[in-house]
Amino acid sequence: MLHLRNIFILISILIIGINFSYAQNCKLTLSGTITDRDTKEPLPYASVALKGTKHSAVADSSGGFSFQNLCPGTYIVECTHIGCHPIEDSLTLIESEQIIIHLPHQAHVLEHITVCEKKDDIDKTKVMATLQNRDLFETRGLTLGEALKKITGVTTLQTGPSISKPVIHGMHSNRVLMMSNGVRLEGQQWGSEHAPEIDPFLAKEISLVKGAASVRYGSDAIAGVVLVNPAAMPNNQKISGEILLTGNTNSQGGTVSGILEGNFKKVSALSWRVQATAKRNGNTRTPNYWLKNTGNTEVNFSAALAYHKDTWGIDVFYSQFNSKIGIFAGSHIGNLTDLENAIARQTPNDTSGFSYTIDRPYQKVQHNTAKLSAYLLTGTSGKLSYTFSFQNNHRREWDKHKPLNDSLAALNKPEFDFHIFTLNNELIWESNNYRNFTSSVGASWMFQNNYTEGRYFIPNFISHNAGLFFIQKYKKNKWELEAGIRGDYKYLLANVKNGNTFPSETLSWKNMVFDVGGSYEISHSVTTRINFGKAWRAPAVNELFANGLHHGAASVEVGNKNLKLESAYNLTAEIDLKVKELLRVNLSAYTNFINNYIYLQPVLPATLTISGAFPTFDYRQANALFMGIDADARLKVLKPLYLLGKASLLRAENRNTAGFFPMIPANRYEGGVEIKPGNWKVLSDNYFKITGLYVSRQSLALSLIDYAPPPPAYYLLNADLGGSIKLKHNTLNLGISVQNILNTRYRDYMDRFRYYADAAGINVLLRVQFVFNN
Amino acid sequence: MSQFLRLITHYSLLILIILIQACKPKEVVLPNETELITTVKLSFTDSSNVGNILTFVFRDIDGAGGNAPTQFDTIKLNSNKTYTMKLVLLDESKTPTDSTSNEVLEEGIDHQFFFNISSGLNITTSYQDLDANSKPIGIQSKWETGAIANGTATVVLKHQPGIKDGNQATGETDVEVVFPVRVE
Repeated sequence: MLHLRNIFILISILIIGINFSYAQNCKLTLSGTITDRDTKEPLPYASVALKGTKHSAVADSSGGFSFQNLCPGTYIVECTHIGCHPIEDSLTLIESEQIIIHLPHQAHVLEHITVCEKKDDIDKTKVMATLQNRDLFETRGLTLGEALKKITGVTTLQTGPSISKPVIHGMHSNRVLMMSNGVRLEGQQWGSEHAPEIDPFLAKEISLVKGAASVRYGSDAIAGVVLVNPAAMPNNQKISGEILLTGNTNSQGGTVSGILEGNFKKVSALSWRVQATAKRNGNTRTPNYWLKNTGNTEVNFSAALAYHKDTWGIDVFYSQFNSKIGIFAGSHIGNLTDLENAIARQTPNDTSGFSYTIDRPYQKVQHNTAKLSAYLLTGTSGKLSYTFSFQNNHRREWDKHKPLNDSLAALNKPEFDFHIFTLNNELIWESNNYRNFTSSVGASWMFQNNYTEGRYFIPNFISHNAGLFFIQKYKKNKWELEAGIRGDYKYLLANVKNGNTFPSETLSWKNMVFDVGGSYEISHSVTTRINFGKAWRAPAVNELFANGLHHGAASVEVGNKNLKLESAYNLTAEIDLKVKELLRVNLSAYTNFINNYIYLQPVLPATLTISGAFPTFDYRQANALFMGIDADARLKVLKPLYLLGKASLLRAENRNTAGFFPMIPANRYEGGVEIKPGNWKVLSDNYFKITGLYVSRQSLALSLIDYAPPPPAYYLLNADLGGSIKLKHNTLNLGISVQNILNTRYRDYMDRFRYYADAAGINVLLRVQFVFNN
Repeated sequence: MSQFLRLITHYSLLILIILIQACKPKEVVLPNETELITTVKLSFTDSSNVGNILTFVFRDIDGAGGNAPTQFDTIKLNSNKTYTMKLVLLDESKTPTDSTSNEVLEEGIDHQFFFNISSGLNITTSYQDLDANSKPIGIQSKWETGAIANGTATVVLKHQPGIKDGNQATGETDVEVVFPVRVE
């Protein structure tokens, strides 16, 4: 360990060595643009001022403004414009910054929450989508996976109504990286019925980077990155917060969630936030029957403390996620014959009435996250930040069948019991803007320890992951360019079952990745963006060493320790067209060449066991080509009436066999009408939206081996209605969503329960959000 | 600033301690095994010659997946005889061996064995035991053989908690073994 200590001393010297010696750097610039929050059009000639200072300005004809010679510190930005409600928000300036101020321009604007939004430099050249304000409010009461479905190009991989994982451009699980409050989520994400352990109510915004993002976020980000970000820490002496209630008719359940936050009166640099969510749902109803044992409960909480001084700051965060999810009783089956019987049935033979009871089979998950982060301004040159996080994920799964032995059954031990413990360290230095260039350099190290009990499926293992990266950006006028490079090393030691012994297997991988991208504003209304990058991931432990029976899938999965690392070359291009409030079109196209894409291949003969034959799947590799288009459009027809349209198309080819891959989402099309009638009595920002969703049949999967052919195309009708009541310091937001209005019977190709049962029928969701002292 | 440096130093030390702990290789612990059925044993007693007991076994010691079954007998019976068949399920991966069939018998109202004889094979089977609801279980059954023939007999155990209906398609399969059969 001696050399490790030396490294720490070295790092300490480096930290101290960086220029500390300055008193107050009053050369910062705060610049930005003011836009109409609804149309995102720039608002010319609005006035902006930093309250309590002599700094004030009037925006130019394109909404731009700039303040020079500012000292680091916290400012209140005040913005006014004719026909707008004046807005105020605080902003802590530690480096020169560009902001966008969204001004609620017309009376019909709903959002009240964000006023200032930081432009995140890292993602400007990447294709990104963000759910916030009203879009995010509309997803309250849904799982994180379902919420992300609002973004074009995202679908879900489902295990019945309560478990869903996001699928980005046809890829999921290990290929989608989740960052929750800056911490890379590490659970047992390899499992298709292992939903992300994130409380979506913590988020103020949920963003998605589409395409390869390995340089900044590390390996595995082949499909993209989901960023779940809470609001910035408060800067308000008064205690503020929100209460959110949701309820739904289908599973007769709902959620209660709350946030409280404020600053300490005596130590104004110290701010705090506590947050908690509780959720309970009963059985889900399909149009014709109840799905037995599909209830779920969730209890989550988090607490954060921040101490932010002018030149340095420390943040501490802790969160706990607990869920108990019932698995539809008809989906746990003995063998292939049972599966064939289940598919042949129109209605599952084990249905029930409504109940909140969760019986076998079920899963229970607890996820703990603790994070400590700190930043330090390194003189005028830049900012150094360090993040340390600790995660402990404990997943237990109970089979349908309890042990026959009474004394064993009385213990009620889970058949699968997985513990994974993760330590993550990241040190980054970001430079300030120097002649239009900014750079960032960083290092990360992650350690994991996995421990399993119960029936063998994956081995115990430890792993180390170390990476170094460098990103250079250039920004001038209408151009923004970015290039990055990263090197990673991963080491894995696993104790793999061989009969009754568990010998060690050691593996290691190293890889270099890069990323180049740029955005160019062709004209005021047209922006283009292009990004080319390489991403990679090492084979996951289940792909290497899984060997066992999966009751939910009625299959035996066999890993292959000779798998090579998967590397992807991703090209994404986007064009964004805005013609005032009249028309908005966003079109993006992507191709993903993946070398050594890992997938499950059915093999013969089936595995012979005492409970019959089980289809057997081996992990294989092939070169793959994924390509697709996401399109999003919005057209104003008359004053309150808008037409909406969306499409996402995808094709995934196996280049070795000239065939296709299983479990790739079908093409989706969505169209609708939105009416914004303005204010009505005390209700403001009212809207009504009705949309139709058409999901075509995954006909590319017809030639693949499967237990049942892909289900037919389906058509669903959904509606949303909402508005808010604004009081002096408080706001009440109201919303109603109706899903599957026509109570259509359907099954989705990406739902693993499609073999056994229909998807959920009509559901009315109600939501009420009370925000106080905002 | 010294306050900040002190914090950094303390914090680095803390990390170092965690690192040293984390880098120690973990000892391999045998995972806690769950219940397993490794063996199906069929014992046939000839009603005309009670001393003549024929035993046939299917055995897969390491459970589903992994190594192939270690024993898979062909059932050989004499023609035109009546046998009483007793079924035993064992977990031989444990010491001492666990006899799972006793537990099936205790939970008889949730379980039923089914015997599927391939066509052309002259065997008829009938149940010789009943659960608390007077429905058959199949731990003990009567097998009557006819003329000489070859074929298969599939032994199926179904778990039908609360839904036991005498229908083989209902419920979840605990055991399904296709024995080759020769009636000689």
